[in-house]
Amino acid sequence: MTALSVEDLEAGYGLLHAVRDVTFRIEPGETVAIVGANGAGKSTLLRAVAGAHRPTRGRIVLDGRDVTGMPAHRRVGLGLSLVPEGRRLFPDLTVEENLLVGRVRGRQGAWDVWSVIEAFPIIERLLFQKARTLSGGEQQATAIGRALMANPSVLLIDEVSLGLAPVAVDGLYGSLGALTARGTSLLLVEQNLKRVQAFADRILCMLEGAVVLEGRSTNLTREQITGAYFGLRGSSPPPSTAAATGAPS
Amino acid sequence: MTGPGPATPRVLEALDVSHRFGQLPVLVEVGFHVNDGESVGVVGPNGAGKTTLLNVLSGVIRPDAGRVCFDGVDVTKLAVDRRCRMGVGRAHQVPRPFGGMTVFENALVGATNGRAMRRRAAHQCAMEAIDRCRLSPLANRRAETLGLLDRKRLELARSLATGPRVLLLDEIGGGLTDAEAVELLDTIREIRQEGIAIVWIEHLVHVLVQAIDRLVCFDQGRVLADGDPQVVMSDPVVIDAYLGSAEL
Repeated sequence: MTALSVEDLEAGYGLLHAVRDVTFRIEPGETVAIVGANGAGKSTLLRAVAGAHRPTRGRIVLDGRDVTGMPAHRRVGLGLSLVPEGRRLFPDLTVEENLLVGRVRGRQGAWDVWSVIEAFPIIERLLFQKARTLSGGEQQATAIGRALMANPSVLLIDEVSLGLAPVAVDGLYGSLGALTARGTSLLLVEQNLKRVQAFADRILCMLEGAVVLEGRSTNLTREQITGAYFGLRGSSPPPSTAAATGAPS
Repeated sequence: MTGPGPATPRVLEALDVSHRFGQLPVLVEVGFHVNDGESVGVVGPNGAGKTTLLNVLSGVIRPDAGRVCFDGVDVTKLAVDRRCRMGVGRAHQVPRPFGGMTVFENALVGATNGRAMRRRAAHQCAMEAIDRCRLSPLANRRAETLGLLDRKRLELARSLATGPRVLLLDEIGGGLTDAEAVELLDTIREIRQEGIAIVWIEHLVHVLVQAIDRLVCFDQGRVLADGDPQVVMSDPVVIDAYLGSAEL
């Protein structure tokens, strides 16, 4: 069964249409990355999928269940978690307390504090340290760990590596690889194209709120993605990687 | 599109401008200029310093170091309103019209405050501005009833009514559909053809490159590339600034 299906989704802010007619699917264990310039609609799309922003149109289906009208906390209970841009940790709670906040009563799964530490060894020595004292990479690992504590089947991560040192990014992506090995589906927003091409199964490129290019990472060239990213001439995707069809290629 | 020749005077210029927000350097010894009648695009990833540059040029921010010159005159210490009356106009990303006033009255605010005109001349100027922005049929509509594209047009009209020699546009295409962006582009091209210099920050690069003579890319507070728009946008250094290095 498809892990997450997004159909004809539209979302905005007043007169501004931030997400337009977006359709895509994610299969169990699959990693899909969204790239796009500032204002392309990436974060709004993730927030709408997670239930943090009300869409004006469209449908969101999680593991076969329509969750479009559900509030965010109910979606978390059904296995859909978001790591927001900026991490949003509780600064005066310890790393362990932040992780424990992420638990969801009644939701079964393999993730607990110790399995999170196993996936993100960087936070082991920081368990009793307040979140406000952490580096950017440590905060991101904690934020992802907190989301994992809800045992999501689909994890959304906004701006995985924004503002992080390269060595911290290497560590994070190493850990994210372990998640997909456990069957968790990932939908990432990431600006580093090389990283995306190396890690994600598929790439969606957004421009002005719409998906303008979609394809398997191995099929898309840097030039194709760059062209779609800026909307410049010659950026049309080849038929084999046609955009916005919603179907994985 | 060909730009003005080298002899064209610089209408607005930032000379070795630096600025910090706390410990964070947002502009680092930046040199930037726009020639009389020239149209310059400004691009760069998040946090590159683009809007801060516009704030420095328009007088919203006084830089920590460096100078801003308008027509060769040092205006670094002049406030926004003084620069506006000299000929520095600005249109913002999020239009904020006076919602309870009509389209005409909004433009009139620009003409009376930005130019210190008398009543009849100000009326004439406001009407011309809304006409240039294709808002004449909506002149008596309250601004709060306008859609996004018309609000953006009004933002332009209000700036035009101040009689700018250089117009600073901050992501004015943001949130528009492709078709709307093209409509706005036509209006901006017409403004440019009237000889008004333009500095335009825009994330919609494919729209921007159709209206500019020159493109400047910023990254981390510095000028990364400056030149022909197509050349700048195909420069690997510029692409790397947006999408990370091609090497891990």
